[in-house]
Amino acid sequence: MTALATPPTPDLAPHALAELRPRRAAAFTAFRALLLRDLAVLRKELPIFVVRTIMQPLLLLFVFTYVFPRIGQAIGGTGGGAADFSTMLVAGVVATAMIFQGIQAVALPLVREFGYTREIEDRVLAPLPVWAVAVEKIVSGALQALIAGAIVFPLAAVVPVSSVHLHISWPALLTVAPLAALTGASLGLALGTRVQPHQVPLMFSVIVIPITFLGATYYPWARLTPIPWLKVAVLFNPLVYMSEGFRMALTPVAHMPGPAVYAALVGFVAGLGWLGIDGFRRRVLA
Amino acid sequence: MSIGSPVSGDADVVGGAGTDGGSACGPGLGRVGAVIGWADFGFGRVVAVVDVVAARVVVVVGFGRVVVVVDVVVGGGLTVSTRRKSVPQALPATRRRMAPAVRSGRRWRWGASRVMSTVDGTGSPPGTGGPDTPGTVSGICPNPSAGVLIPGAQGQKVHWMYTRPLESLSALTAPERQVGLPGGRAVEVIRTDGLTKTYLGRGAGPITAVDHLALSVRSGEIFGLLGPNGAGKTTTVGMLTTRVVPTSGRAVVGGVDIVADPARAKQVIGVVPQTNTLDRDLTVWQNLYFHGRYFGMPAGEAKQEADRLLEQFRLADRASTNVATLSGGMAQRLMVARAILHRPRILFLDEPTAGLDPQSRIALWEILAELHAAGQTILLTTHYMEEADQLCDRVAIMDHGRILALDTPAGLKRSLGADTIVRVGSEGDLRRLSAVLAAMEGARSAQVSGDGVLLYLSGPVARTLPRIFAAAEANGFPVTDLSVTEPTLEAVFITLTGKELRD
Repeated sequence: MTALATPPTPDLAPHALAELRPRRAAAFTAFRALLLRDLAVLRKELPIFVVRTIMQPLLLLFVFTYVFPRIGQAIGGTGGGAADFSTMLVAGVVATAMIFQGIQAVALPLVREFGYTREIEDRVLAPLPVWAVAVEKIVSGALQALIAGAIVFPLAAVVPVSSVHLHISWPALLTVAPLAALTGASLGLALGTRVQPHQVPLMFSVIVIPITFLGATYYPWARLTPIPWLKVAVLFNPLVYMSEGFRMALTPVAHMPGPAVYAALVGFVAGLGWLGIDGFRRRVLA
Repeated sequence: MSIGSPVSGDADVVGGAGTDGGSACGPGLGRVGAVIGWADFGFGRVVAVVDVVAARVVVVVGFGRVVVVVDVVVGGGLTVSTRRKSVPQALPATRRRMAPAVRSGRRWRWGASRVMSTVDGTGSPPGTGGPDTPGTVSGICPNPSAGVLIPGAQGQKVHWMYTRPLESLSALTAPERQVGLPGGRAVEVIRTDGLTKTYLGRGAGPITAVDHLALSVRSGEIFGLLGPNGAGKTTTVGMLTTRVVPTSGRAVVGGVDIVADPARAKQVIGVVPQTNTLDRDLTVWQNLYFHGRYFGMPAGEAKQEADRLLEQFRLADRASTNVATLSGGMAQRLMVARAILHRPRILFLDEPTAGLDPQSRIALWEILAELHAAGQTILLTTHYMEEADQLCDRVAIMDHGRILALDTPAGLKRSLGADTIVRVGSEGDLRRLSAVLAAMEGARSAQVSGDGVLLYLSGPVARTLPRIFAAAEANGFPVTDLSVTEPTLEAVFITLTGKELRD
């Protein structure tokens, strides 16, 4: 930097000090501004967002619903079996896209923001409670997860070799989708506040990949009956309920009972949300 | 939570029952000597107080500016009343007598209090020895740790109950206190009382970074915390800016209790931290714009302010670049611009020039001087004595979490009682050399410092130097180095601690 050639102008200082605003109003405007900030960043990075969102569902659909049927691979079979499989898979792909987005939109930026520079302090010093900043992260991540989930639908329309037959239950979709988005974002917050930068690769190996592969993405949960221990073990995986929830909302395929899906999703949002908010508090307050 | 804090929304005390009562009141609540149990749930605008003796429960719920009071007297019926908030003219007090059982570190808490006085003059506020006088404590600003206020009626007036001594409340939570200054009066904008931070170290045991700090910063001054690394300066600023939770003690910044109401305190502070905390996802201009939005500025005003400050801080040509491309000095200027954009009552700068090149340092000093001239209150930490000396109106010298001395830079230097300081480098038993030199004519004192002795002299130094050489050599101390300086803050620090600032 070069030194100032001339002193700063005399009216550098504030003309008048800001007045104290009511807590709730100040917190609300700050919360809204934080969301606006996240949306501005999203808009700026839209091409990156679209690419990172599309790639995984695109490849999943391409391999499982285009390549395999074309080469006669057993998964999904051909003809009517392929169509059923594609239909069943779409729900899992939507859920996977959403949980991935939750992690990418919340956890990875947080890991950096908690890093050496602690640039998160910029937002923590906004006039709202620390927990509200964490909640904003969840809301922002959930919005991005919803967009990611929505992007899967046009892919599902064009990629599979056999057409996908969706039977949309709008009440179920309009309730499962926000819950699934919040679950993904809460998981992102919980991971982002408890993972150190050097542990990110480990996080993907130990948490993200197992969640994805064992999340009832490629098969309905009920089909695990021949492997009872796995059928029980995967119940700790939030993606199972997201996949089954979307299966319930989008397809005629057999799925978990609705109340179980809703109860589990609400439970995961609460549990992971609490873990994340508590972790956020611990990371920003000494 | 107190009733007043969440209900009033703006630093007022909940009340509004005025003096006309409003709720049927049991015989115990509000009676001097009555013991009440209270619970502070901390998650909203609800407080419940149980008076076991009177078999009465009062639940107060705030909805914006309206307060709903549900008053249940067992066997005596139920009363529900609504009232708009207002500041009562007189507030009686209670003092915590029973074990408070406050769950520190938690948002929610509970405890028991004894009514010490009532609004009609019955009883005495703690420490005053006399009846409560209407109007005497109207400046009290309730906050989550201030206790519980109970509107009620004893057939005549509202009763208010506190769980803290009256004097500490009025001293610490008045929005701005008038304090005496030589030649006039100034407003006190930061006040700490017994502020302590202890870190529970792993293996090494607890470490007290800040130890019962009592500080008072006045409006419009540049106040410096000077001390070596590890003295507790950054922890102090961390607590005053809500990022570090104090272990004990209290602090009021800009009229807001930073422990009880950190979110609100953030409205009145601007912070330039030690590290570059600019938002890497945003451009230079966006960093300012969104900061303004965080603090409630409408879009138009935030844009205007961002443009204005970029011009004034000579960053306009960088407006659309990413902050990662800024040099250290530019980033620091942008952080100062960001910190003052929302017009804070106090600007905190933590080691603002650490790591900056000399030119950038001077440029930042100019900016701070301009802000000071315009009336901005500034608290900065530094371990550069020149910075403290040149910029600060008053300097607190810190070490090991405590303030060792506090005065103007000139006053601190005067406290040395010397016109000149001679540093005599030598070898051998420096304590003995120190004693030899201290016995010389014109010497005020002498002190071992590193590999030499600091000799504090009064009067002209020219003829003293040869005598210093002679005295040292005569006692078997070879003089390896000799330097003469004016009294400095560094010398003050060495005098106080026996070590150098950069140790």
